[in-house]
Amino acid sequence: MPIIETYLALTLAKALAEPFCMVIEKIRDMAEEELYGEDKIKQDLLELQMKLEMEEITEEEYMMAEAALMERLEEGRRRGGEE
Amino acid sequence: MSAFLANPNLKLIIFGGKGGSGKTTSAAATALHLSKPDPKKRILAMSTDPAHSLGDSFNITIDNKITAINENVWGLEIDSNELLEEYKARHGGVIKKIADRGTYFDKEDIEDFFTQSLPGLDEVMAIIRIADLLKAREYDLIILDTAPTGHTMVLLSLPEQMEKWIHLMDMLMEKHRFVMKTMVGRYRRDECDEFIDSQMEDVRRVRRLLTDATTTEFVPVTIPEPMSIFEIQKAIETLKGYNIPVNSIIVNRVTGRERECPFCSARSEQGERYMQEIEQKFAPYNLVKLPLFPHQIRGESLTEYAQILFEERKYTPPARAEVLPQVTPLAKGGLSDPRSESRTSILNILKKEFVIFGGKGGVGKTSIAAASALYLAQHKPDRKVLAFSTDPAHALSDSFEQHIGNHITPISGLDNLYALEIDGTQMLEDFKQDYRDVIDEIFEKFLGGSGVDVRFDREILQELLSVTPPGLDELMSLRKIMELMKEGDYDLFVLDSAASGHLLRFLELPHLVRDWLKSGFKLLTKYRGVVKLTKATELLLDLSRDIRRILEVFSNPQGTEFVMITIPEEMGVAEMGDLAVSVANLKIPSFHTIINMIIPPTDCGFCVAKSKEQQRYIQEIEAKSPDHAIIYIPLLPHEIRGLENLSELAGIMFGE
Repeated sequence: MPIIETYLALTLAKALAEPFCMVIEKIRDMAEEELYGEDKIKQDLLELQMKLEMEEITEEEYMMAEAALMERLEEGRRRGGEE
Repeated sequence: MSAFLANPNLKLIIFGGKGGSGKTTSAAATALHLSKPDPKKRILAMSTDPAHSLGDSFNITIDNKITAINENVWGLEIDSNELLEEYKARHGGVIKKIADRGTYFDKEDIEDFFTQSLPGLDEVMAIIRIADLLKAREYDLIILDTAPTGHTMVLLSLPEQMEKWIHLMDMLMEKHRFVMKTMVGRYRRDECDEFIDSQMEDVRRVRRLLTDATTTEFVPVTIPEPMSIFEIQKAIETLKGYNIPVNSIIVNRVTGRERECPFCSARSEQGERYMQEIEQKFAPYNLVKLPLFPHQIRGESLTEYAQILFEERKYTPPARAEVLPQVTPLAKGGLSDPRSESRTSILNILKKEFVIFGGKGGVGKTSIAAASALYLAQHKPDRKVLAFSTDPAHALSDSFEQHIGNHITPISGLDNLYALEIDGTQMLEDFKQDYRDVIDEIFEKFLGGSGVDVRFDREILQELLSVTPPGLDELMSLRKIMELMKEGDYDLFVLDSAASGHLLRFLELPHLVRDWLKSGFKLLTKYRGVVKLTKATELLLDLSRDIRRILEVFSNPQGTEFVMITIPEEMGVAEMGDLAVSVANLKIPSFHTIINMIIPPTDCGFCVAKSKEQQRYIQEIEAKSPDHAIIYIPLLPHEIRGLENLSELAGIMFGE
């Protein structure tokens, strides 16, 4: 019975693919968290501020890096809103 | 009551009191006098005041090396930074090993911390130096010439604190000992344990000596003036708490019944009043009175001073003719000010945000700071002025004749003048309370796991919270200033600072804290993957920004001014020179020098003799400060206390 076989084959394929997709999704989430997660951005910002206080970067470099971080924060919030 | 320092078994004599009361002179004269009866007795006169004047007093260059004064007297002026370097060279390896075993930091982190300096170093190194000297037993008697009262009390409380620090080191080792016992079955003591034990023994030896009435004596030195009396009264109370023995009190500059000169007569009347107060307040003690001399006591004249001190001869004031037989009295009619523009120029401090008054102890810093704050408040009714004392022996209350203490207190009669006297210990408690959440975060992040580490770490962290850091008063003053600047409630801060040595330590502190913060940030970034201390990081970042702001304000000529105060005497002039160099190195703007306590023109022999001596130093000060506007303030015939007297002083200073 081709219909049943097809159904079984598809179910099997789905069962095999699902964990793979979950991993992909997880990786995507982690990447997004890494890029747009507020906690991460906050830590990056603190690190940036420490670098400024240690005089490892100039005020100008700090401003540029801070602007980039804020952009990431906004992007993260936008993505969060879309979902 | 036994005679002055009659106990032949004394091993340690400490002279202490307000700046300018004659501590150094008394210490130097005592050393010379006690060396005479027994040439085999080895005596070391040692100065622990970061602004040393022992060498000036002996008229010999001493510095940070033991220098022979005569056959059996040596002098030493300790340099805490040099001593720290020696200490690090000697014990650095062991300390690093203990830190490596007991903390999570790696060798590189520890090395980084090791390059930093410490606040409150002068007192710590003084105790360590004394401990070393006691251990070596090279001297039969050590005579200490100390910093003005506040910091001397810090010094004397230190052995107890240091025992806690050493205990903390021992706790750091405990984890290592436990692990070794568990793994190897037994623990073998090594150089770290030896070091901790020997340091503890050294500090305990100092503490035992300090409180041993058979071998130690603290000699308060005062003059018949209210602030000086108040300081030794407080000191004696504190000394009782530490069980440090006091038998005699030196009262310097006791005036006779001069009635010929109206100026001397006014001053001696006032002196007599305070002399009575001294006799009442300190009745149980042996009061050793020394006269006001018409000349300075330095070098050879120390012998004369010592003879009166040890009651070997009575002081007879020289007859007028003997003092200065043929001298033309100075012109009458007040002090002429050769630089009248100076008075206009000093008005510029009205526009600043920060005015710091500094100079040797006893030059009149508190009176001038209080008078200036009052003047500024009266003449700028729209600006809120805060007079702020950073000297642990506060005197603002006395100047304003109003209790001030550790809270911002409005000065009665004005609605824009406030005052504050910092209490470092109290503020440390407030600090711990304010940052409870940060402390909790550190506890939670470090102690969240389980196992051996937790037990030890919790104990170490708890112990760490209970110890008092060195340089507490300076650190807390700095923190309070930063807090107040941030809040922006006050437009002008007038700082009544500690005497020059410790004022410098205070002014250097922002740089020092900034270096520590940089090391802290380095660690936080390095271990960011391991431990996230968000609140602590935010706190340190805030601190770092505030420090940067302070450094900006301190170095901005529009915002800050350091006003040098001096008196026309050898030691005043010498200290002024050292202070000026350091202030310039710290890039703190300074445009004015105040010469205080100038004897006004009279035709009295005593005044003329003093005045002539002063003129020489006035010229020296003028030559030393070519870029400074100089303000000349006469010695007033009465004390400066209360708003009326302060207004009078301000009037002279600002030219009204």
